[in-house]
Amino acid sequence: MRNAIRFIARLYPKRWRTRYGDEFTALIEDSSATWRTLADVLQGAIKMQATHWGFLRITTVAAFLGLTTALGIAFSLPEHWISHAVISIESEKPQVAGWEVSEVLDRVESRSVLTAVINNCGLYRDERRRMPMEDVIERMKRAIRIAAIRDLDNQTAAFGIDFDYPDRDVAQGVVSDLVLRIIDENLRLASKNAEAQQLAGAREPWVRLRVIDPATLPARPTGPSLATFGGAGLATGALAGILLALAMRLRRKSNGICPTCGRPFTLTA
Amino acid sequence: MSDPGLLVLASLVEGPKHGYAMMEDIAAFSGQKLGPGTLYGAITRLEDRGWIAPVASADRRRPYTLTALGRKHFEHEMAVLEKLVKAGARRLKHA
Repeated sequence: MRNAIRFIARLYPKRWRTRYGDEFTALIEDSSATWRTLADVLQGAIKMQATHWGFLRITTVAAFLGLTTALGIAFSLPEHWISHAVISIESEKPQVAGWEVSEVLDRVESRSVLTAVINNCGLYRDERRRMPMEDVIERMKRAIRIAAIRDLDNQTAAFGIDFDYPDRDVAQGVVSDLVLRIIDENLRLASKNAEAQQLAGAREPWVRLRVIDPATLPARPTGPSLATFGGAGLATGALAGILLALAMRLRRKSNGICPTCGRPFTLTA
Repeated sequence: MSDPGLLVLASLVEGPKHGYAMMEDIAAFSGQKLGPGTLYGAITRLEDRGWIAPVASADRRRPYTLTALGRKHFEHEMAVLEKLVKAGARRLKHA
């Protein structure tokens, strides 16, 4: 332990060790060699280094710490893989098609269907252990994105389905599952409408959904961006370093110590 | 003035001492155990301000002594503390 304390004492600034090194070593040898002494010497070394550091060194070290911390966080975050599919809408009356498609999508995004997808695809295993199923379903709903694709007449000609998940194969599997369910639900609804038409003697305009882009296997994760995290960490660290250096400079001035050379201000006649 | 600094000045009022002697003396009169890092942080600051000065010694264990400026500052700090103690005691009595 005493060797460890002597080693930590070498972290003091060189100029300080030149002045106080021998007597400080003698004191370490006289003192008890405990964890408390080691922590005290380490704290003293850090404070003494910080006192002797100039503006540029403080800012540089703070920027470096910000960068490494941000990159560490970025690497620890899960990746995002987004699979994508496109379904086209064909209808005699495009104005009406929107209603029916909405109805199909509402059914596919219902609690019962999403629960089935979660169980079939083995989604959110950790979350299912920790949270109620309702919360897991909400999480899945936030990961699904359905966006309309409009034609030149501003009618909805198709819609895209995206699903965001940490595993790219699973993301593709879920989008494929959802696409199948949408097509099935549309066929079921069409069949139901046809029966109603026969009974009522009226004819409803047909709506046909067709898969034009099947679920993709994403080639690249969408986040987190190392460049963005690294840049933000570097900038935040540098700013914190500048503020810290300014605060230390002000403190040294108020203590009567020259912030540049570290010596007390003296009045000359 | 930081607490460790005040404790070092109080210890040196009696006469010059090296680091270990200061630590033992401070532990005896105040009950506070200063580590080597804390003690030498205080010694560095006090010497920078001219309140203590090293005494020539053949031993590695270098003693320090209170300067005239240091004694003046210590007397000032004691006067402030004495006023504080008296005011505090009076208020506690009447509270």
